[in-house]
Amino acid sequence: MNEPQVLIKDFSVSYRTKSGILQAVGNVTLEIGYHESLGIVGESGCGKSTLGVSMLRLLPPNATCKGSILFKGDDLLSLHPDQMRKLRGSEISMIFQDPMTSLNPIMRIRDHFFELFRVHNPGMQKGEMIEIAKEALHSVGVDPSRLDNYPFEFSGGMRQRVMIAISIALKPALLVADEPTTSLDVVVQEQIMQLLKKLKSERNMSIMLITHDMGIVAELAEKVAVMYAGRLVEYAPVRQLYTEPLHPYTRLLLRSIPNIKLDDMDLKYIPGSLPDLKNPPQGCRFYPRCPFSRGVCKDREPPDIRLDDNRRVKCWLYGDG
Amino acid sequence: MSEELLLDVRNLQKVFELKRPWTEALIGKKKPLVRAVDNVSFTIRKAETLGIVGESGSGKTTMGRTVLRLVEPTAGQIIFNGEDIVRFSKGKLRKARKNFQIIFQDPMASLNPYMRIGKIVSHPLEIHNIATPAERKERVLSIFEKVNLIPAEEFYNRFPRHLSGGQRQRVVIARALITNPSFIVADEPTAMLDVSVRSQILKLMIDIKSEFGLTYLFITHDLASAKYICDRIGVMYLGKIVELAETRELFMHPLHPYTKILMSAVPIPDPTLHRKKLLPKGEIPSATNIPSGCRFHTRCPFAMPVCAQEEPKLVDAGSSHLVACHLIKES
Repeated sequence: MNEPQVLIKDFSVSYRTKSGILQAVGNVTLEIGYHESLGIVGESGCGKSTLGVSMLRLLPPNATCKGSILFKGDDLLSLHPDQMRKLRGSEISMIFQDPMTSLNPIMRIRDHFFELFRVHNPGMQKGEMIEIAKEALHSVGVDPSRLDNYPFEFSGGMRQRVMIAISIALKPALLVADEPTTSLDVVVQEQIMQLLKKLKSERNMSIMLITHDMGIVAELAEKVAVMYAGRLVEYAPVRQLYTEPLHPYTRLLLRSIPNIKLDDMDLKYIPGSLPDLKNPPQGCRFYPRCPFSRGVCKDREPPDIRLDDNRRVKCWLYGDG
Repeated sequence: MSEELLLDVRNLQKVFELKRPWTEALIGKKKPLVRAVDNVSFTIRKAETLGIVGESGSGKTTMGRTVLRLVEPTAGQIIFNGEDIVRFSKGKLRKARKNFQIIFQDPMASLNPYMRIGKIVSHPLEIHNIATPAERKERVLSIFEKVNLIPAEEFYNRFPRHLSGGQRQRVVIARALITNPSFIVADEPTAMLDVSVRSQILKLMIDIKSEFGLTYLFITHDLASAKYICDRIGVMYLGKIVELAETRELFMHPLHPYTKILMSAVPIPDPTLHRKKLLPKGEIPSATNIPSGCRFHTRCPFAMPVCAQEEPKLVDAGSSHLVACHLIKES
């Protein structure tokens, strides 16, 4: 009964590159419950987008995966490509960062919808297709009469709404949103976040929200997974993560976000930079920048330490080393 | 901060003409105009940082470039250190350029990928014919150390592709500093960077400001970053400054509805907080078709009939807090 909708187990992704093997995601274990929103936060290169794309099995050909991703009990990684295609768009769909490059510039909005419907439901009548498309546009706050427009006729924020409309048209159970507001302005960002919140409760979807913005996660996510250099370093319910962060990276990250509170004028930052993933530190990947690092951190990678069902941290401070 | 003005911008205007189809030209239709910067006036004191915040399309980037005459203004005066640079000849302007520099948003697009870092940063010295080649290298190395590109010798011969985003932005800053300018326009210098790097670069800009005695025009859409670095902040909407006040005053008492909206849209990393959010209607209108009266009235939650007819003037609402809104009375 309490089985999660998505269960990612010991999942790793490596890319073969000219200059060697690069492990983008290493041994990640995570779950997403039904109707739950999970935020995945981290900086560029931490593996969060790779993880998101893996949910749809859209990794580039030079990637190899290990582990499993169970979606409603089926392992996505071992599904036949045809079965996977059936799932994409209807059960799991995705919205990307840049709404301009993810819509085809020479296709009308209606044809984007039709393409999706034809894959999943070849017998669908045109009238029905238009009806579903209009309903989807309406639910994201775009005038349904704009179905015949081309992407260039929309502003950035409107394009992102159209993208969302297409991805939710077939009522997917899981929406993967990869930095959905990064290329948008604050005000439009806020509008899109409100929309995602509304859709989540109206349509009973789960959302996997991938972002680098801790502020956005605080507003939308129920659980949060923090990633650093390909590792899941902390997993916690949103309130706990912000009120008592455990991993040193999470603590420093939360402290270093510029905020608009006037009593806090001291600008803090995490010294150093991200490790080279082709040549990562041997022990904990954060130890070169960590103010609490000890001998053990340098030599051995910390295990996932499970504090309770909803709380995990990958750090030697919380287990014997 | 001295009371002496470094920059005095008066009624600055930049109008772009757009193309029209030849069919429209035949019937005598005029070219559509974009009023990117519409009669903007402001001053910056020596050693001050003035922030300009606004959404994309508000004209803030065009304004930053126009102030340096990287884009020629349509009208207005730009008085820099007592001289109107709009009247400068090309040759004179080129010579003067070493005194005012710019930091661009995208550190990948603003560095030539085929030039080595050392060459990129010493290039301005060559253009302005400053120092001998050996001295130039000395200067570049010392500026590398100031912006924390260490070991400097090692960075000197690298290419931009070998650097991370944060390091590239340090190169852009070094290039702006090398001619020893007194004024820098920073156009969204941290927008493309990751959170942990963003604060590092912001901190660097604050540190070099006092070390080099700089004055900044800091353009950003991020109110949170602006708070740390700016002494005063101007809020821009569709080519006009709608509110201008000292940073503290602006954050404590935002007066213009647009400023209030911008503030409430900033996500706060605190899940226990439940704010009542103020959201505008729709999106920023196109600058080819600026609404009548107050240009914000089409989105303003407090719009009144007068707002559609009469454009509010930028008035002092007390303690040098300037605002252009019919709801606010001049004090």
